[in-house]
Amino acid sequence: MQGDVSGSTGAGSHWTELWRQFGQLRRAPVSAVLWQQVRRGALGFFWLAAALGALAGFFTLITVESGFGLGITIGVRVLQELVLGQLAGFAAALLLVAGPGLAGVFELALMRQQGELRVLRLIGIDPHDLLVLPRALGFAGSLMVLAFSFQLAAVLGGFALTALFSSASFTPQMIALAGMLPPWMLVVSAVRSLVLGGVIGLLVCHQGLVAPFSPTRMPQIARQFLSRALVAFVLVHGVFALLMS
Amino acid sequence: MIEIHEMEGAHFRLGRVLVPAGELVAVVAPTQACAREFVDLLTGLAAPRRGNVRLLGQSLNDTAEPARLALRARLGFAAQEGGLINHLALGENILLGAAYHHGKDAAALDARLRILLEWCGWPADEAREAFLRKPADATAFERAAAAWLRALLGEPELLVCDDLFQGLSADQRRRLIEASVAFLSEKPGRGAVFVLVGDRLVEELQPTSLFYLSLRGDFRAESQA
Repeated sequence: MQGDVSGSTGAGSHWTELWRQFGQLRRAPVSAVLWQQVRRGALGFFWLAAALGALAGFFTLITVESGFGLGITIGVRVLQELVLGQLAGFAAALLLVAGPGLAGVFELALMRQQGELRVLRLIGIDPHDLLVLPRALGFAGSLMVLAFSFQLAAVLGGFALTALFSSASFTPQMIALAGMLPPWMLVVSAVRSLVLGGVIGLLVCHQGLVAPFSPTRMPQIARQFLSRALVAFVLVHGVFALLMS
Repeated sequence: MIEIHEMEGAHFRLGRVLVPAGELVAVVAPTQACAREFVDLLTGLAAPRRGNVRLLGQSLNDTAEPARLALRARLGFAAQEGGLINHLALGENILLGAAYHHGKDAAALDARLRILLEWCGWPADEAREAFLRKPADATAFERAAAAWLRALLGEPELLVCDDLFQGLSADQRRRLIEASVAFLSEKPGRGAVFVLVGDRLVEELQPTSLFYLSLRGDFRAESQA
């Protein structure tokens, strides 16, 4: 008996369950799964996200400031809009989806196939509580941390590397950024990461617990999950862009 | 404690069964599928095609899933094959139910675990080494004992064991049976149901009640009161 999560028909039902069962986080095994998910997602990819952020910041600044000769102000503006505003979220989401996301899909799908959801129900645990809620929250927290580490490294690493390899110095670039980056933009970016991370977490749970699964279909399942995650990324960014316009 | 009225599943039929508290019951199933289905119907994980089950005073037909989950939290379920979460170590599996439902502190759980280990004759040092292993890397006894410990750590009213003794030596089976008897004797009102595949181990178990599931539906019940 594979035993899908009872009552699950899609991501919508996961949202309902998510709100109803928020109190389950008080239970030790549920909070343990949450922190494990954050560790796997955020800490496991923290340095990679930071390294990619520093390189992305550096290549953007050096191209615009020195390559095109457009100066510090334009360079920092492009960094703010392109790298901090768009690329950070995309790169962090891609890291999360390709690593812990796919691992989570297959872990949940194998649990379902091996009858472990039945075991959870037999010991009186609703699989939603232990598997869906902490994963959705864990992915949300992980994406926020990864995106922030990418952004921070893009600024600090990008400015430092640009100062090292061009005539632009570190402090004027920081001053230019401070002048054009309102604090609420950071809040919007964090909220967007939380929402997108939560959606990715729910997609992981949906793909692992509800969608058809067999070990021979793993490549198709991976492709389907990646496609859905990319669509979610575009939709969430689109909605936030509309709200902010 | 258990009241079954004309239960009919996909694999078997069962007539009227009444099991009062304090009994050690053996249910002999002809196949693993039969045993599994019986556990599912007994615990309300699946609905019978016909009939009704009253478990711990509650009719499963009239109970919604959240209430069934709460009811199952009062049971202890142990199965050696397919009874553990494979990506968790044995120790994590053992603590899962008790930590989830009762949120006991580590010292209380540890004290109870020591008693249970003593009952099943598993040396504490040896057991704690095994607790670090995943189910796939553990021996049959380690898996069976871990499932049994998880079931009893939550201090259930009814212990349900599904084909727990598969692949165990006579001595290992005896240790788990004696430990289960110790659990029943510890507090009045507790019960235990051992679902066995085939009747080879009935004599070793020495149940107070014995029921046979039949593929053909010709159920016969014997009570060894």
